[in-house]
Amino acid sequence: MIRALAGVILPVLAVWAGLIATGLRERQEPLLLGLARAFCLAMGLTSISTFATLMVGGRLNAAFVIVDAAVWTCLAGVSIVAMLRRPSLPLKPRAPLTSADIAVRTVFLVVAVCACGVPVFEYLASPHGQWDAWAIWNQKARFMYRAGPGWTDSMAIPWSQPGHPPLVAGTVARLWAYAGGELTAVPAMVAGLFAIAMAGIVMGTLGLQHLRAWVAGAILIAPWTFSHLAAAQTADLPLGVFIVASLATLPRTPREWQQRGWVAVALVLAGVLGSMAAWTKNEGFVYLAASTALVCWSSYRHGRLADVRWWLVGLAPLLSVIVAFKVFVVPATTDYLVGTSESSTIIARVLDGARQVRLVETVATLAFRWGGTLTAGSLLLMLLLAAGLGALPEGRTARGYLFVSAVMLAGYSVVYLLTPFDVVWLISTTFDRLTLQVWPVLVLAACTSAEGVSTTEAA
Amino acid sequence: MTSSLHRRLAVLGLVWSLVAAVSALRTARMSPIDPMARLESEFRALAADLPSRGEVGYLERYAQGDAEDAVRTHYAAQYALVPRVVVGRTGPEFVIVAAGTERPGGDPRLAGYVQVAQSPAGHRIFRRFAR
Repeated sequence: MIRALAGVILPVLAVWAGLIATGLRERQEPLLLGLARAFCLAMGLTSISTFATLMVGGRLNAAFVIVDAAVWTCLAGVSIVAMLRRPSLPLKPRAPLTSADIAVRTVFLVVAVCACGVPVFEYLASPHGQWDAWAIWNQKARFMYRAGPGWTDSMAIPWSQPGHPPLVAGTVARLWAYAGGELTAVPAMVAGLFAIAMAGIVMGTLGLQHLRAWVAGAILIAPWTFSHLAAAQTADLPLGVFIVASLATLPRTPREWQQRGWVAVALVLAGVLGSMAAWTKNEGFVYLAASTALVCWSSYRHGRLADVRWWLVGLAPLLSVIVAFKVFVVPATTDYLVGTSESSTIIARVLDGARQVRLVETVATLAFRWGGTLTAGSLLLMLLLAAGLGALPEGRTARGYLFVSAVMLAGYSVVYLLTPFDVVWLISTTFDRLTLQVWPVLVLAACTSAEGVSTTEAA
Repeated sequence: MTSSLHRRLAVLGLVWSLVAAVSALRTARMSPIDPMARLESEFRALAADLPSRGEVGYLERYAQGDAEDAVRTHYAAQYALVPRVVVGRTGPEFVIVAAGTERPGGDPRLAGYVQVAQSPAGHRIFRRFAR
């Protein structure tokens, strides 16, 4: 297990120090945010190298681990030395904690302990994760770890969702190679680290010196739906992390948009993180469509339309890998929208009144129940709160986040509307997972506008 | 938080978080044991008697084959026996017959197959020999 942890720490250190050493991020950036973002990028990059190794006929054996560890150790060493040599601005002195600070942080700590307990209990009951974990993600990881280049045999298993990209499976398989065996604790650890990264992104973006960051952190991790999915070992929570990390990296204020070099770096980084969302799960493409529209609109409104190219520069490399994956690896499979190439089928499904009633009833029931026992209605409340605060004149950033969430939820609704499968079954088995993908964005949107100024200006 | 409205919202959010987190922990403590770990180890015991790769057949349960427990058992066989591909039909040289899936009194789907291995949990492997 220690060796698997080393397989995480080495690339995270290399990416974190590398971003600072190359001036792409400042050392003054909150450590939690920097490490969480570095974790996302590191898991994305290592999954690509694992995928590439398998596609050129390699195996995830001891030789792979030695080369992989050597590369990341060298990169980490060089990056740390370069980072330490780089002159940095003096750190701002921290204000002493007030009694309100202590109270809020204590509540957060209690919530965090409870939230961490949920995956522990669930791991003891379900060490292989929830249904989709062993039917899809961990199963693909086993194919990668056991069969090497023969992992593509998994594409013949219809329930393993062959069309979904392999970020999670590749990450687990690589860390199994580090561990020297298929420890069930490894995918559980990966899921837990993504959950921590999600909290790190949201809280770090809001600024840990502000009370709202701790309030947002508590609200984010408290619901049963969050901690349950943090234990699930599936790809939905990682996808949510990449989505919120990408959005939080985008320039927000007019002042930020005027800093030419900073905007380019932010857009490239946000684009890379966005493409990693699409490398995690197909729903990431819905995020890419929504966020590309947001980037185009924001850059146009700030008179910087040409800067959209930096967003595209960030997206392009990994998108080309995804296209290659889809063209050369994924077979033609049925999906949730089979039959929708014919307009008569679409019209028939849309005009099916009984079906629409079942759809609305199921969504309404699940949306109300979301969050767990005693806290039903939390998703709807958060939606209302985020929309209310975002409607304030100074809630511009929140409105951008809400736009992306709305487009994603609308996209999923279209699938519900048109799917040939039993609509109640499909919604019941996907609703919590899909809404968790936008949950951190809603929390961030609500808390970003909670003080009437943007996070960056407040910091 | 500067305004009183934001302060109230923050307090509400924190109280809600505490209730939600404690409630989630209570729910998690009551999580039932997932049968996957047991099923996985039961099917893993068959691995030594199967070819190391390729298609292996799986006899779907003779009645209510699409019930959740029947589907779970099939998926567990696949999960345990990776990198083999466990297809839900007879026809391949080797066929897995999970405990309780065969029609009592002789299952016509197994015509031409003979049993070659059995696990302690009652799962069996049938093989069709070339004539």
